[in-house]
This record gives sequence, C-alpha cells and structure tokens, in this order.
Amino acid sequence: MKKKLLAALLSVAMVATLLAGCGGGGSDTTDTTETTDTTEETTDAAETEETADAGTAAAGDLHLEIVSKGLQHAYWQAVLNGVNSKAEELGVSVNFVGPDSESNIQQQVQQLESALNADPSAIGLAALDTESVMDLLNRAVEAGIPIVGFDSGVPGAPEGAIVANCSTDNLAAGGLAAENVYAAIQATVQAATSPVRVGVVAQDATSESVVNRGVGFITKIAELAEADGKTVGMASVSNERYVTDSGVEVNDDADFIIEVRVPASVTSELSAADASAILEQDDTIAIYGSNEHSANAIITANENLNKCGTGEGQVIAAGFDSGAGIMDAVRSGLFLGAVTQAPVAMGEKLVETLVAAANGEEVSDIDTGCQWYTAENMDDPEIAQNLYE
Amino acid sequence: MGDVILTMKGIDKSFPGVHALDHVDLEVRKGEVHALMGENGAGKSTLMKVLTGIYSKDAGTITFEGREVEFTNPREAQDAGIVIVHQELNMLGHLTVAQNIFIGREFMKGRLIDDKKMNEEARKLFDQLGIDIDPTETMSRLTVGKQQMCEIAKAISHEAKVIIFDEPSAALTEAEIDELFKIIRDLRDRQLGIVYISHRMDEIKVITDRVTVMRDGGYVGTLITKDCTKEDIINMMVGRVIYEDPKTESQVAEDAPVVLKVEHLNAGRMVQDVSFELRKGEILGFSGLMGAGRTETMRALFGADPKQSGDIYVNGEKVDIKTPQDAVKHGIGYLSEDRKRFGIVVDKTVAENSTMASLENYMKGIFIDKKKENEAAQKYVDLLKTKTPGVDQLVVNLSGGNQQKVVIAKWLVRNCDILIFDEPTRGIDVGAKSEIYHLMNELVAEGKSIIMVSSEMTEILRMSDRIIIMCEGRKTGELGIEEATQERIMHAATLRN
Amino acid sequence: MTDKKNGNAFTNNPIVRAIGVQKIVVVLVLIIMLVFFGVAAPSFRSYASLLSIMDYTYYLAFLGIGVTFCLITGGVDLSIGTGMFCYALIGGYLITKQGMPVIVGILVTLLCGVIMGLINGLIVSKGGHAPFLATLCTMMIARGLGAIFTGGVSITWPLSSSPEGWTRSIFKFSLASGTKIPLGFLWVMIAAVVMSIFLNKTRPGRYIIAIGSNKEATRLSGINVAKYQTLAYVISGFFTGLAALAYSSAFQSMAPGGGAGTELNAIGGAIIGGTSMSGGSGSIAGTILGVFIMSVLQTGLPKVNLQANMQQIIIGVVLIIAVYIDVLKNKKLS
Repeated sequence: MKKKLLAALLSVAMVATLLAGCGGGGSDTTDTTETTDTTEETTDAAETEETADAGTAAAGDLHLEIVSKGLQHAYWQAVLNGVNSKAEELGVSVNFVGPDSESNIQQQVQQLESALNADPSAIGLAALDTESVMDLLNRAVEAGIPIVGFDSGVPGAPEGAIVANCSTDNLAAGGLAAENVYAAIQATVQAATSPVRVGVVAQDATSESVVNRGVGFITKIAELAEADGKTVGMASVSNERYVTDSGVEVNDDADFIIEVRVPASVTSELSAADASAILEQDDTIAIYGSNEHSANAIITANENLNKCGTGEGQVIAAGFDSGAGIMDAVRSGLFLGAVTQAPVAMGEKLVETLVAAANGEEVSDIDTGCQWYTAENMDDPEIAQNLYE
Repeated sequence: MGDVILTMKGIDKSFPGVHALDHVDLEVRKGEVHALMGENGAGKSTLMKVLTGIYSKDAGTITFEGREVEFTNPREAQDAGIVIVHQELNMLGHLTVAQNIFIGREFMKGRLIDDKKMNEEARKLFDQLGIDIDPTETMSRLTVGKQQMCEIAKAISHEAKVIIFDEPSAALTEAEIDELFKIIRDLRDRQLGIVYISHRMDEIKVITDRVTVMRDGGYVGTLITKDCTKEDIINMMVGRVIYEDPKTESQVAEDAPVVLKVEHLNAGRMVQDVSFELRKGEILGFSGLMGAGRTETMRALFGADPKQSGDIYVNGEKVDIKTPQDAVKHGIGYLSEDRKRFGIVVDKTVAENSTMASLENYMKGIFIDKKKENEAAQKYVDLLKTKTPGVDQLVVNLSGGNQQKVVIAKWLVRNCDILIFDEPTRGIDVGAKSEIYHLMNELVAEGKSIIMVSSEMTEILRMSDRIIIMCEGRKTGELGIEEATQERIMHAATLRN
Repeated sequence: MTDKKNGNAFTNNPIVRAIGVQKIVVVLVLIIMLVFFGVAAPSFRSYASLLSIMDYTYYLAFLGIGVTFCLITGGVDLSIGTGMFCYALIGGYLITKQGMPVIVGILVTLLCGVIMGLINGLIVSKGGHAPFLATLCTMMIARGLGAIFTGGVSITWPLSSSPEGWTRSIFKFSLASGTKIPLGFLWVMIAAVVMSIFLNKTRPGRYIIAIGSNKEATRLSGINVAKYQTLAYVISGFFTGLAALAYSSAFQSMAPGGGAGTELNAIGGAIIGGTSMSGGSGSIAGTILGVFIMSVLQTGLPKVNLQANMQQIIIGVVLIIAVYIDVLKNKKLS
C-alpha cells in the first residue's frame, strides 16, 4: 500500500507541474459570434423589454471581462451564447475566457490577472478555487472593479468582494426534480402497504453544487411524502454529509426510505455499482442521478438490470443536466425526465448584472433558473437551447 | 593426452588500480584434466573470464584448435566449443531441467516450442552421462549437486570441446563428488579438454593430469600432477607469503570464561537446534559445505534474521536479541560474508564507515563531530595498517583486503568484544589475507573473542582453537584443534539425515 | 530424486501440482465468496449480477493478462490504470467529438496502448530504469495526456442506440428478446488461451519467464534480454488498449484524470492468481481467476450495504493478504 501512497504523493506533484507548464493560452475572445443568431431568436420577449432599460443606462462604451471555468464543454458554449447575444443587444464589449480544463487553476488565475490589468468596467467570475484568486479579489476591490460571480460563483469569497451571484439555485433545482418524480410515484406511495425506497446516486460529497442538487431533492421529496402521511427516513448506508445537510434522520424501518450512494472516487464503474445496488432492491420505486456522471451511471446499471421506465412496476428514473446519454434516455422514455440548468439565461443575466454593477447600481443575487425536461417538451426551442450532447 | 587444443599465451589484464593478470600462460590438451590452482585472488577466475569473452584482454594471444580467437561474449565462446560450468550456478530456477539445458536453442514444432522433444533429448544426455535426473522437474527443486550435473549436461549438449569447471566441488557431498569425477573421467576419455579450478589439494591429486599454478595474478608454472607432491604445489601457490604458524593446540586459557553461549537456536530450515559456547580469547571456527547453515546461524544470532526459538547468553546473562541493534548493544559485531551488500557503504568515506555503528559517540549536539570521527578513524587505519590515502577516501577505491579492514575498524570503534567473521578472506589478495590472520590473532590476544565462518579448510585448520561443523542446518561435529583433520571435518560436514 | 521435504500429501499430489495449489485455493475462495454474497444479498443471485461481474471482469482481465507479462519479467506496469482511461478518452474523443469512423477510434485506442508500452519497455530495458519508477512516471503522463487531448471534459462513447453503438455489442450482445449475452467473456477466454500458449509454448514467452527467473543467466545464454523485456511491456500496453475498449463498452463514459488505482486491482488479481512480484513465475489462468475475485468483490460489496469507503478498505486488505502470500512463497523458495 506504500506504492499507492507514493503514487498519490507523486501524482499531486505531477499535477502541480502540469498546471505550471500549461499556463497561458486558452483565452478566447468572442468578437466573432457565429451562434448569436439562434440565441437572439430565442430570447424571451419580456426579457428584451427589461434589458432595454439597462441598455439605456449603459450609454458609455463599457468593457466587461468574464472568466469562466472552461470553454470546451457545451455548457460553457451555451453560457457564451447568452453573453454574446445580450452584449450585442446592450452594446457593450465582452472578453470571455476560460482555462483549458477545469483542473487548471493556475491558468485561470493568470486569466483573471489579465482581466484585471485590462481595467474593465466589471468582471464576471466562476472561480475554480477561491483560495488562489483571493489576492486578485482584493486588488479588484481596491481598484473599485465590481465582480459578479456566476455558475458556481466564488464560494467563500470575503465579504463585499463579490457584489452578486448569477447562478442556478441548486437546492431549488433538486427540488424541481423531486416534485416531478413524486408526481409520478405518488399513487404507488399512497397505495403502498410495505416500505418503498427512492435512491439517489451522487458523484461526491464535497462539491457544493452536487451536494445541493442532492439535498434539494431529498428535502423536497421527504416533505411531499410526509404530506401523504408517510414516515420518512434515510437508509443507514447513506453518505453522512447528505444525511446531515438534508436533516432527514436515518431510519431503515420508515415507510418511505431515501438511500444516497456516493462512490469512493469519481469513476464510472464505481458509480454504476452504486446504481446497480439501488436498482436491484425490490422496494426501489424511483432513482435520481444528481449530475451527468451519476445519471449516466444509472443508464449503465440499467443495461444489465432493465428496470427503469415509466411503465407498470418499473423504477422511475430522473437525471440532472444534459448530454448524449441522458437526452437519449429521456427521449426513449427510460428516464421520466431530467433537470437542466439554463446556461443561456445565465449568460444573459450575467451581462445584465455586470452592466448594472458597472453603472454603480445596487445588484443582488439572481437565480438563473432551471427547467424540467421530458420527451414531450425537450424539442421546444426554449428548452432545446439549454440542452447539448 | 592428445594434441594441444587451447593455448593462452602472455595474457595481460589490468583493472583500475589492480594488475589482475600479468602475462599468464595456459595450455590445454585434448583428453586431459588440467588443474588451475592458486589462492583466492590469484587470478584464476579472471583468466577464465578473459577466455570466454566476459573480459577483454589487454595483451596476449588465445589459440583454439589452431586458430587465433577472441571472443566478445560467452555465447561466441560457447558456439566455438568452450563452455564454462560456473561456480555460482547460472540456472533459471522457475523453468524445468530440460528447458534450462536448451534455453536459447529450443526445439520447435512449427511456431511452438516442442517440450516433449526437449525432454527426450535431455533424457538421452543424462543417460549418456549416467545421471538420474527427471528432465521435467523444476530446476529449483533439485539439490545443488544435481543442478551442477544439469550445467554439465548443458555444456555437453553444446558439443563442447573444452569444459571449464570453476570450483565445482565447493557445494557437493562426497558421494556427489565421486559422481562428478566419474563424469569428468568419461569426458576426458572422449578427448575433451577439461580445465578444473579448485582449492582442494586431494582432488587435484585424484582427478587431474597437469597443474598450472597462479599467484598474485602471475603465472608460476605447470607441473605433471603425478610427478609432484602436495607440498610442491602449495609452495608454488603460497610463494613468498609467510602465514601465521598453524595452530597445533588451543591458545585459550584453561579457565577462560564463556563470553557467549547459544542454546537450541532455531531459525527456519537452515538453523536447527544449534548450540555452542565461545570462550574469552578464543577463535571458534565454523566449517561446512556451502549451504550448511553457518551464515544463517550467525545472522539469526546477530538478530539480522528472525529466530523461532533459542536462548543466547552474553557473559553468563541471558539476553534478548531481536535486531542487529540489540546485538551491537551487547558487544557483538558481525563482518558479513558479502561485504558490498551488508558490510560497508562503498560510496562513503573510510571515516564515515568506521564510525557508522557508533555514531552516537561522535556527535556534537545534533551534528556529527567530523574532527573526532576522523581522529578515531585514523587511529584504526594506523592500528590495522589499512592502506588508504586518507580517512576521507571513498571505500569503493580501496582493495578488498583494505575494505575488510575498514569493516573490522567499524566494530573495533564500537568496542565489540565478540566479533563474528563470516568468510573474512573471501575475495581478498594473499598478502592482505596474511595481515587479516595476524590481526585476528592480535585481537584474541587482547581478550576479544572471535567466531570465524570459513569455507577454506586450510584457513579453518590454521586459525581455529576449536571447530564446529555444520551440515544442512544442524551442528554435526565439534573438534578441538588438536584432534581436527581435514578428513574428520569433511566427514562431519557430510553427515546428512 | 526431487526434494519433496517441503510438501505434504496434498501438495505433492501430481494433479494438484499440475494445476497449482494457489489456483485451487483461489477457486475455493471464489466459491465461498459467491455463496457469501448470495446469502447476504438476495439481489446478488441474479442474471443481472452475472452481467455486472462480467462488466468488471472484461477490462480487469485484459489489464491483468497484460501486466502478468511484466510481473513475470520481475517488473511491473503501473501505467495501465490511467493508461486505460487515457486511451479510451482519446479514442472516444476522435469518434464523438471529431466525427471519425468508429474503427479509427478503436485502432487509435489500441495503437496508443502499444506506443505507451513500447515507451515503458524501452525506458526499462534500454534506459535501465526501475520498472516501478519508469511506469509510475508514464502513469502520470497518461493521466495528463488524456486530459489535455480532450480539453479536460468527460467523453462518452457512442450510445448503444446510436448507429456507432455497435461497438458495445462486441462485449454485450442483445438478443431480440432483450436478453443480454455477455459475449465479452468469450473474447477474454480466447485472449487468455492464446496468451497462455504464447507464454508457455513460444520462444518469446519462454524468454520472458527466463528473464524474470535469472536475468543474468538469460543474458549469458545469448538471449537478447532488452528485446524480450520490451516485448513484455508492449504486450501490457496492447492489452491496456483492449481494456480501454472493454471499459468504454461497459461503462461508456470516462472523466479525464481518472483510472489511478485500477492498476492495483489488476495487479492484485494477478498476484492473487499466483503470479510472483519477484518474477519468474505466473500463469494467465491464475490471473483470470484472481481477476474474478476482484470483480466479484466489486460487484458484491455494494450489495451488502457497505459504504463506498469501507469497500475500498476491504479490497485493500485483500490485496495486502495476496502480497503477503507472495512474500511468504518467495521466502520458502530461498
């Protein structure tokens, strides 16, 4: 086991070296925007009206710097689309950058520093690691440049450094999944004479957003089941963090049991084993994967078990985020549906907030919203713009 | 004896700091067994390594079957018909006997190896030699003697014309030696040239036709075996070197106290119920064949290997030795048989090695007191007459004998009263050997006590006050020096269950 | 005339010796484990469980077969875990993000493995690096490489519903009735038989054993040690490529930077099956059996309601026991 420890130590050292070696590059100015047409078309009419006001406020030529967590992933491309369309509408210039990968902290720090040096009117930031950008946050405060957090924001940032956050309310998003799942199982729950089980496959117990999507689901579904007169408890095998955060007590003898499984490390085969373990229990009536990784694990497990679906006696499954696997599962009816964030709206609201902050207006946190999508509505333009393979 | 098949003339070879071979000659004829003799470090093995292409020669010529040759690797020599049966067996323990014999030239059936054919061919070879070994047996399950037979069979299967035996009898029982001699005579009758390297005078008289003697890397002379006496050969081998007078009686005082007592020591298969006593001022010899369990006994006693049971008393008091640190604490020092692996740190200086076992006495706060360390090291360099340019010299640059002295200094610095010398003169030159003997006698005269493990019969008989003989992990004999003879020791060393 | 002092009636029985004591013990342990999980977790007694066990077996078996060759030379290949992820990421990236034909993705995946194996082999044989260190370095390189190549995002291989999804039926074939056939088991068995013959009945295999048994003696026998040592790592690399295909077939998606630790499951399987860490001995059949132990553990442990971190501890303890048995065996030999 010494080998493993050594391997771990050396890997840490290696990652650090890699990061140091990959500084620079990866920045992507968004002057050319091929995809703006589609986003413009789909922009909500009410919102256009709203932003018209902001547009007048931004009479001067404002310059915004936005530092994201990456550019490759389709999710960030969708955010970028929202940013571009809104920027064009308001007539502000935006420089949108992000590191090569979500582990490249050092590169993001450099990009934030460049952003500060450009002396922008305001900065949008989705920090990979709050600790490493702390100095730069202070510099921004001193220079009087407002910073607006988006996506996962800048958790743990010092008071006053971040003027507002544009992000998905993950607790609410998890709750949205719970409401839809419960609607599908309510009849079964009410008619049940023996305990029933709802499983949650979670990628980890450390990431704030992942945990909140899980906890939001648990608290909501527990509340709904209790309203139907059932006793609710967590399975004793569940991860402690989820038990503590959701406030639902461990009780293997409850009428309505919620079981949360978290793998020891984030790999598909371990999560698939978790999903299998939940699906194979006879009393399981629903299962929820709280991000793309976990939802994929449910799909993988189901290939062997063939239990998920909306038919009689099948297990109701729900996911979070999009991606080829989940969208295929939703479309084919394997999944009841899934929650998607609204990255396009996030991009738009981010630009609005940045402009407002740059103009010295009072800004506050904004929930950029989320949507429940099913086989029926996933082709609606309003939803489709937020889905990506 | 037939025609000359191999001639080595004026072979010269130097390594940095050592003139290993100084214009050595050797002539081997078809159908003769030619002994190559000399003390350890005389250059016999080096000469054979030059012959088989492991080392390249600096000067001289090698003529084989009338043509001048120069092999660049053992494979070339093998293909030409010169094969060496090594002292350290070159076997592949995980493969079968037949697979070992035919390694590198397997019989094939299409693209697959034909193990059946290989087994048949190996069996034919063994039949030819009159050896009873199962070709399908895994090599590591054979006794050392049988493994050696396999090496010989392998040599013959190469259609060898000259076979070199490098100390073949070192690990063999008397019965196995008889069998070996039978095979060697058989090979000789088939007109092969045999080079036989050995220390054992009796064997030389029995099996060889001619003897070439080497000393200190030089050629001394070649004799017809039956025309000379043992003494002639010994005189040629030893030459100018005058050893300590052999002991004829124990030098230990009648009333000398017992400093170390070992009772019923057990440690694995190689150490079974071993008991003995060591008295103050005594040199206690441990004799036996290779693999008799002597080194294992010492390592278990010293705490280097775990022991299952057994009691150890130092100066009459029962002590608990679990690790080498415990042993050192009780004044026991161990000079390993394999200096490079266990005895010294070659890339450290003489001074650093000298104080290694007693560094706590050479500290100034948390730092090593360099000055004090150097003084102590210098003291023992002078005392032991270690040949080194200075105490800051790296040990790797010293000769084997002087390295051994550094190891001795390490334990003397530590003030050990009980010293275990495991093969103290292995691989060191003749002059240094004499100095080590002298030193050991001085140490016991000063009241230290020594256990000496040695495979050299002459060394055992020359140095010991008392001799303990082991065989297969058990103590099979104990002789006072007055009653000890080579024959009696050999008898006890082959007393198997 | 053999030395049978260390055996007893059981271990000296010719049939037992032909099969190997360790393999018999492993089979017994495997049966005990299956019975235990069957009793402790009713859901374990199902066809679906068998399919799950197979999903784990495919990639671990390929990794295990490959690394057995390295272990037999007295070396080790630590790069197979992150390597498997790296090659699967690269292959999957080409197919799903670059739109290349599936067959190109598959060939590139295998090629990556072979190249990495060649690099490992040359560093070890020509460069003279300790295998542990050399492959520890390439383990890190593979991890970084996969992340850089794909731009740091997860890759999902084509879904079974998509036209490119036929790769998945190579390992798990769906009948019209919906029943899944674990076809991959057949490929694993074929690979095991072929590589077993290669190891025991061909010259390269024989020389790989010889190198692990006594490298110097092998060299003195006129055998090109560097060539066959390198070959062992190339084999390991190629089988890591196969494992990458098996993994992406069973679990579709992989995140960059993953896979560390998987090599220990495969190496552990090989050691449980009787392959020695010190080289010279090992068998493909043993490795397959050892891998089954690992995959049954991985499938069974989550079903007996053990928390994930507890499962890791149990697998760790199993590996310690396996290595300890290996150490004991070597002690007995010397």
